[in-house]
Amino acid sequence: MKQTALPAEKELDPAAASLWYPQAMEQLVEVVQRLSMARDLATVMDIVRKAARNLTGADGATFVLRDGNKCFYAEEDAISPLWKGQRFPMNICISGWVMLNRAPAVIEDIYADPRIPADAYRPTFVRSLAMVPIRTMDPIGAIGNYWAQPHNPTAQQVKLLQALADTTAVAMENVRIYEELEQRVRERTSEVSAILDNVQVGIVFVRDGHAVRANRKAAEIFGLDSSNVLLGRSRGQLFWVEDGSSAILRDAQSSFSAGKVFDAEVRLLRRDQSKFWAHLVAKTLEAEASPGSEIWMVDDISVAKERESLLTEMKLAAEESTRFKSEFLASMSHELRTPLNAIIGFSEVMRDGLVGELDDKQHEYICDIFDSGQHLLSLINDVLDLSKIEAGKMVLEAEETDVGHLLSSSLTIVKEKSLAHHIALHSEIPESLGMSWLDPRKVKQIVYNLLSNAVKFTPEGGEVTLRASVVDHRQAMAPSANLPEVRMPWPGGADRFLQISVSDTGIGISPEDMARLFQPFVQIDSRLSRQFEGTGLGLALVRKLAELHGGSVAVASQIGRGSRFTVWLPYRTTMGDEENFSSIGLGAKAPSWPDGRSPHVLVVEDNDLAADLIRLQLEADDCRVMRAASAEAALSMLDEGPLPDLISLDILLPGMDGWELLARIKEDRRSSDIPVVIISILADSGKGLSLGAAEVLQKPVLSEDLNNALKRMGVDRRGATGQRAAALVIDDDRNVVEIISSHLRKADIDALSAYGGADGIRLAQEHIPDLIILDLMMPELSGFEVVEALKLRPETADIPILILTAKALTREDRRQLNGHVRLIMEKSEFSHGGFISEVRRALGSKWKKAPAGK
Amino acid sequence: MATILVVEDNPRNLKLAAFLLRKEGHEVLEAADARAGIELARRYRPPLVLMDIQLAGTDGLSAARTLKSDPFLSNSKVYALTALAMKGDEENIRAAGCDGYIAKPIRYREFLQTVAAALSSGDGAPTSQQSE
Repeated sequence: MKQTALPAEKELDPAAASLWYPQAMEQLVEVVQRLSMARDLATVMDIVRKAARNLTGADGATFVLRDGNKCFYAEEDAISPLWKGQRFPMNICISGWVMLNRAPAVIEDIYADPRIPADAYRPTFVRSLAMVPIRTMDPIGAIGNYWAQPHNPTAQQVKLLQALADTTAVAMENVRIYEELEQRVRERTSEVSAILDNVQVGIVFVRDGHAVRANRKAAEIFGLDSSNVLLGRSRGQLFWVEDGSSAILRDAQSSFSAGKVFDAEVRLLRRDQSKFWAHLVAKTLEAEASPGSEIWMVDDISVAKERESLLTEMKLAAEESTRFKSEFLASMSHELRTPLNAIIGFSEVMRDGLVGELDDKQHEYICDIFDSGQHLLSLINDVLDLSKIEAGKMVLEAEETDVGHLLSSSLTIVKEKSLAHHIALHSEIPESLGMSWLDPRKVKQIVYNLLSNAVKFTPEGGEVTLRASVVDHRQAMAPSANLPEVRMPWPGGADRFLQISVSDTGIGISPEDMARLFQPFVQIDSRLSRQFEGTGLGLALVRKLAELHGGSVAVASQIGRGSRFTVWLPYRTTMGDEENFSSIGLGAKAPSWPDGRSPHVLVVEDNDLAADLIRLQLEADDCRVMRAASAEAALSMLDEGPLPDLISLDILLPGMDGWELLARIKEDRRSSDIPVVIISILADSGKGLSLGAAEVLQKPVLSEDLNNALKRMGVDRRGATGQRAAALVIDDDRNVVEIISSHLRKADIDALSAYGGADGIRLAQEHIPDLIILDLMMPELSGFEVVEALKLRPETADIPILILTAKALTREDRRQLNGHVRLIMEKSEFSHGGFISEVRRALGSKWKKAPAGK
Repeated sequence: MATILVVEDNPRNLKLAAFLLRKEGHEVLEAADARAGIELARRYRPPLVLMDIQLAGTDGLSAARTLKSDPFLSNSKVYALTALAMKGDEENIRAAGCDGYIAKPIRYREFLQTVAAALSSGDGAPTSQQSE
């Protein structure tokens, strides 16, 4: 824009002077317009200094800015240089005066005005000046006009100059605000950029289908050096899929149309053809604020996707291997059972004499084959049980269970073994356990496993204790006080638990082994497994079975101090009072007697001849006979098979004797109502000294008991010859022999000691004692065998024998057992008629005569 | 005493079953595979067939089905005698048409009891099986 300098007003003629004002106003208006567009101070100053000179026709104009307490001559436009760039104290220069006094100053002769330090103007052309403040209220600067010749501007000119200064003030304020805004925008922009460039997700702003802004991460994800490379690309080019389909954009568009956020995981292709998994999230921005705009967020999830697919693969592989394992186990089960069938089957028929009598060695070896076959079978069953639980295929068959009964019947299974190993079996089972909701078969399996382990790992003379109680959660969680303990994860869930523990005084377990003990398919210790026969799966099974119940297990042990295994099972009582339970129990347990069915009789008899005899008699009377050659076999038949209607029982049996068997039959609710007929060998009955009539003493033997027994047996302190009587004590436990011998000596009876059956027989033959005190359970030669041997020799056959047993049969027990026994028959007096009539009496009203002539 | 057919491809297990059955006084027909078993069953119509399940060639289950669907054999019972003794095996085998199930390894007393029971109820086989 061109500005022409106006001539000084007073130099004009009146006509020209009248023309000056409108021209000046026009210039001022133009300046105002130009100032309104000025965005910075330099422009403002440039416009103003020229306009100021032109408006008044001055020889020079200055633009002075207040700078603290100084005046800064920022710009000038003059015929020769003035003070541009210089600063003067406010109190010594006229611009300072103008600002301080907030009033214009007009000085025709600067050398005549006291406000002017004359020296300041000497180097300049200035003779006259007019100075106006910028922003009169609170001046921020001043505009000066200078003339070389003495000049007195008109009031109108000064007013106009002041108007220019006022406009300048507004312009300067605008510039300040504008700069401040710009600064703020810069700050905000850099903040947003910092966020965008540091955020760990790619962000692309799209307008009208093309990227207009993208952050660093987006560039990185798309494999580009700079986000600028992304700009201008279409969405189709950015979100490029392998097959070139536009499914992503279509889906995104339909999400947008529905007002939804587009969210998808897709496999994208980079420019360099490399592929990656992207998580895309896109939405449209508000139409009013930014029409046609979308924001796309991109995340590279390749790593997560890879991990996910790896997991899926691993899971499939695991399922595959589980399936394979379960198929393998099924076929293993079949393939092992097939040869076992012949092994167990043939050895059993041989053992039982179905193919003829065997001699002792043959019988022993056949029993070994049979037992090994059975062991192998239990191994297979353990493995299968475990794998079934692992595969989640085993189902809990819970029912109301009499806990105390279940536990004590579990205890009887290991009684025999603990007896044989001279291990004292204790139980602390309170009566108050009552009924709980359990799977009785599996709990029995748990308890049996723990007990048989304890017996197996406890040396002779040790103790095994079965304890049970009902505890709350806090009690169950209480740590073991006296032994280091390892617990399996606690399932929670129940308020009360049945706590079953089995403690032993065995060899103990090291801390390292304790931690691995309950792991499935981990043999604890190969040294142990060689030393102690077992499947090595028992404890894993115990744990799994407990967990199946919603319970847990723990072991507390220390080498040399024994072990304690504890199982917690949720204790859930059910509705109904005790009477209900007992009546249900009785109803279910009472033997049924269907019409027309032949009664089943279980004959427990180790002697084949005797058994055949009994069988003949019974079968002739239309009974169906099952025979058990030992108490153990009888128990397992009672356990596994159908219950018989009658049991005939021999007392002298190998292993567990008839008394013990009777006790167990009466102990077990299933069989307690079955009538029992006892058929006992009373050989040499005239002497009254056979086993059937022998006293039974329980260890530990008190001297009083012994004396009473001796009296009852008619053995006095004096022997038959009038000399001191002598007794032979045969027991493999030296302590017992010592104690009894000392009792005998106190009673003035000489005592001979033998620590084994063979020794005993030899001593008996050498010394012919007046009495033999004999332990039944001895290694090598058992007490039964000793008796047999003694009876074979005429010189020892008449010696009375006192049987000593550690069986938990108290005298009271015996009395009670006798109440269950219908008859004790001597085999020598065995007759068809008498026997059968007794059987009929025993069966009572349940007896139904079988249809004649089958 | 009855005639009993044993179909069993393991010679030792066949020997064991035959021994036990003969010991009880039964007459025993022996077949080592399903085809021979079906032939013997059709010829002698034994009241009881003991059938191994995992047989080479035709398996015991389809042999059992063949026998059970034969109208001339409606009085013959087919009992599985098998080492398939995992949980569910018995159900599957019975569902496939066998009248009974004996798991190996056998205990001879139970085995003979089961056989005796099968024979004693032989005249009145369940109607559901006859009306097939």
